[in-house]
Parts: sequence; C-alpha cells; structure tokens
Amino acid sequence: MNGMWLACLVGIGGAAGTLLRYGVGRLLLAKNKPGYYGTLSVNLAGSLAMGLLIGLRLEQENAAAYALTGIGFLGGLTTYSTLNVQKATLSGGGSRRTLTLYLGATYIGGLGATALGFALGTYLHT
Amino acid sequence: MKIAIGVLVAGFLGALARYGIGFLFPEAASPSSFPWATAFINLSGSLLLGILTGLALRKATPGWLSEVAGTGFLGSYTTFSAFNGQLVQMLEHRAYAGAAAYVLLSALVGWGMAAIGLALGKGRNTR
Repeated sequence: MNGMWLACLVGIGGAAGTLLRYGVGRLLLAKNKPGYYGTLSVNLAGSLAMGLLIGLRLEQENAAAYALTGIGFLGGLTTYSTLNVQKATLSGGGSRRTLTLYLGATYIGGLGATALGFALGTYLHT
Repeated sequence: MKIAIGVLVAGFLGALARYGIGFLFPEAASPSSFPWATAFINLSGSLLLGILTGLALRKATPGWLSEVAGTGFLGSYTTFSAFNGQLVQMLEHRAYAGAAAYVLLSALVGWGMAAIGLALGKGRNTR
C-alpha cells in the first residue's frame, strides 16, 4: 500500500470527522448548551466506534479502511485538546460538581464505551 | 460557510500531522507498548489550544482563528478515541502500570499543559 495514499485517506477521514464535531458543537451552541456537552458526545461516540474497529481487527485486515475510519474519521471526530482546556477552564471558574461529573463521564464512560465496542467487535469478528 | 471550509481544511491537516508524528517515534513493538506518539500529540495540542484559548479570552485573536486553528486543526490533531483504544489494548495485555501512567500523563499532565497555555495566552496583566 502506497504511503501517500494512506496519508491521504487519513486526511480525508480527519476532515469529515472534524466537520461533524464542528457541526455538533454549532448545534449545541445554537441551543445554548455548554461546550462540554458536544465534546463529551463526540468523544464517547468516537471511543465506542474505535473499540469496535479494534475488536474487528480492522487495522490488521484492511489498513486502508482503518486509515480512513479509525485514524482519520474517529481521530478527527474526537479531541483531547478541547477536553483538557475545558478541564482547566471549569476548574478555574466553573462548579466543582460539573467538573467532577464531566471527568467521570469522560474517563469512565470513554473507557467503558471502548471496552463495550471492543467486546462487540471481537464477538462479531470470531 | 467560509469558517466551515477553513475548519474542514484544518481538520485534514491536523489528522495528517497526527499521522506523520506517529512515524517520528520508534515503531511500537506491540499493541501494549507505551503510546509515546499519541501522548506527545495530546500534550502538545493541549498546550497550544490553551494558549489559543487564552489569547481569544482577551480578544487578541479573531474569532475565526479560534475555530479554524483550535476546533479544526488542534481538535483533529489530538484524539480521544485512539487514547481509549490504546488503553483497552494495554489493559488487554495486562500492562496495568503502563496504562495507569498513560492515563495520568494524558489526563493530569495534559490538564496542567492546558492550564499553563491558558495562563500564557491570557498574559500576566489580564488575569
């Protein structure tokens, strides 16, 4: 597989994932919801899907499909920089309860969603 | 609409940068080995987004720049799905110490990086 072609697939998937994350953010902003709702929903959905792809062994079986969907789309859809900046701003001015709930939902929910996706993918694969 | 196109292009470049940086780090020997590349990406992205957000808070940058460079490029550059995917693989291979270190590095050091970036971006007079 040509390396340039794989990189191109990563970029295309990343652009699509980023646009979806941006759209979710805009939608929630229009409904006057705080920004972390959008980050949480894309991060949890992306983590579930990533677990599924790993369980399906997509990287080993179809490198191009994994570059497009896993590295590209899901990498672009989810974000860690926004998460860390939100943690810093919430701890600076927001309520402690909101921060605690956000941390719990993100980390426990994220790992749980990925493990669930992984279990499902492994089941479907074998 | 122009901003959405900017976000799209920046998302393409951010994913490409993440993919490229993966090759700068020694090839992972196994799925349970420590994901240094993703850790570096998420930490550096958190610092940079902190700076950008700090600058935006004191209105030192135009709004479109925050969306294109922040939401678009840095949002796509950093990743939460790969973080969790690697974590599950490390746990599956019983690399518990590595998994714990990876969580602490990404979640706590990353938090600190974002806070440092915010302080830098806001500047010392406007805190």
